[in-house]
Amino acid sequence: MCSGSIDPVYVLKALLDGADGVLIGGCHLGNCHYQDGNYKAMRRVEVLKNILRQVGIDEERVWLRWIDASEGGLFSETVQQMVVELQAKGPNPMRKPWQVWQETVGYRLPAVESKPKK
Amino acid sequence: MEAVLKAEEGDILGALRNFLSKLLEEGVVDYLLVPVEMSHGRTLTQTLVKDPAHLDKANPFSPVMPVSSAVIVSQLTVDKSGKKLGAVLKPCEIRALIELVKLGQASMENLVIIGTDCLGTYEVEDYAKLIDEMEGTAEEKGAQVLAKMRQGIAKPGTEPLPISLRPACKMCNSFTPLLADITLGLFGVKGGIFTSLESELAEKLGLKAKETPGRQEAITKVLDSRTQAREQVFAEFQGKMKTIVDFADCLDTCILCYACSSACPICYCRVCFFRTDTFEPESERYYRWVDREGVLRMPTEILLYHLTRLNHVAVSCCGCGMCESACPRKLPLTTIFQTVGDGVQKALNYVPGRSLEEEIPLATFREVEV
Repeated sequence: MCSGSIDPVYVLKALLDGADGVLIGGCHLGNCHYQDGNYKAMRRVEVLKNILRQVGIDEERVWLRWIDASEGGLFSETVQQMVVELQAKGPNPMRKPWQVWQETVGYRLPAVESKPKK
Repeated sequence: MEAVLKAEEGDILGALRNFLSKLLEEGVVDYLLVPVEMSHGRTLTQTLVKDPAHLDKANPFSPVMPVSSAVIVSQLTVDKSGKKLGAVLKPCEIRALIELVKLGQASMENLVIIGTDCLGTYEVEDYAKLIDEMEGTAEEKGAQVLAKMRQGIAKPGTEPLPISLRPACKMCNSFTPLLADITLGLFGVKGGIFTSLESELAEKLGLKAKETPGRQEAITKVLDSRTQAREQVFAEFQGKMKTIVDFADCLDTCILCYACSSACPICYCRVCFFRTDTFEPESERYYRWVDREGVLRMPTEILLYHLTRLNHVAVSCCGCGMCESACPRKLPLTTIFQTVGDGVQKALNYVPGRSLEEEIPLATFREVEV
C-alpha cells in the first residue's frame, strides 16, 4: 500500500483501540512510483499530528519514516528505536478506553449536586 | 465599480428584489439560486428561479440558514451544464463553494456569485419561534427583523434580537464576501444596499458609481469584536484540552447520527465509510474486546468518527457551523472544528475560501516541506 493512500482513519483506529504507537513506512522522497505519494503522506501525517496535539493525544506515538522495501536493516533499527521510545512513554491511555470515558465530567450536561450521605 | 442600490422609503428588500429581477431580465443570468421566505415567514428555503415574478419573497438578508447553499450550487454545477446560473450566497457559503470547486465537486463555469454581507444567523427553531411571537404579516416581520439587524451593526458584540446568534456567527471573522462577482452589502450604508461589480455590468444595469465611505470602518468595528470573541473561544478550548479525556468529554453524548456530516458542506463523500460496515465488525469482535477489557463502551466509534472527520475537514473548514446547528445534542462542534481547523490552517498557511488558485494543502506538495 502506498504511503500516500493511507487515510488517517486507520492510524486513528489503531491509536484509539489502544496501540502504543503507529509506524507508517514509506518509500524515500524522490523514489515514489506514483511521483508524489510520499509527499502527500507527509502532509497528511503532519495534519494528523497537528490535530492529535490539539485534542490531547500524544502525537509522538505516530511515526512516519522512509524505509525502502530492500532496507531490512533500517526497518529493524527503526522498530527497535520506536519500541524504546514508546516504552519510555508508557502505555497509551486508550488502552483503557472505558476509564477515559468514565473520567469525563459530562461537558454541557447539567451539573449534578452531590449530597452528603446521611 | 462601487454603487448603491437606493431603497425607496427605506424598503431595502424591495431594492434588492428589483436588482435581482433585473439580473434575470437583462440576461446577466438565466437562473437564480436565491433564498426565499416561506409564506408564513418562519423560515426560508433556497429556490431556483427563472421567472422574476417569483422573486417577490426573496430575502438573502434573512438571518437564517437552514442549509449551506454551497451544497446546492455543487448539485447544480458539478456536471458542468454551462447554464448561466447566479447564486446568491452568504460569505461562508461562498467559502465552502470555493473549497468544493477545488475538490472537484462544483464548477465556476458560467456561474455568477452574488455575495451578500451577513449580519449573523439564528438557529432555525429559535427564529421560527421569534417570528411566531411577533405581530404583523410575514412581510412586515421580515422587514422588521432586517431593520433591527441593521441597527445592530453599530453595536457589535450585542444581540440585535431577543434570541442568540448561532455560535459560529458570534465568532465569525469573515462576514463580507471575499470572492464574489457581485457584492450586496449592508455594512456602512444608509438608505440602500452597497454593491460592488464590474463596471461593464453596472452600466448594463444602469447603476452609477457611488462610494460608500463608512463601509470599511463599520466592517472593522464588527471584525474587532468578533475576533475578540473568536480568540476567547479558542483560548477556552485550548486551555481545556489536556488529554484525550477532555476531548472525549465534549463528545460523550454523541449518538452517532451523522447529522453533522450531512449538514457539513465540505464533507462531500457520497457514501461516508462510517455509514458502511467498514467499522461494524461481526458481533464476535465486540465480545473479544470486552473479554480483554472487562467493559466496553457502546457504540465504540464516537471518537474515531469525530477525529476522522476532523482530519478530513479541518483544512477546508470554513466555519459555517452547520454541524453544530444540525446536532441533536448540540455538541460544541463549531468550537472543536473552528479551533482545531484554525490550528491546522495556520500551520499550513492556508485560508479556506480565500482564493481559487491556492491549492488545498492535502492535494499538493512542495519539494522542500516545512
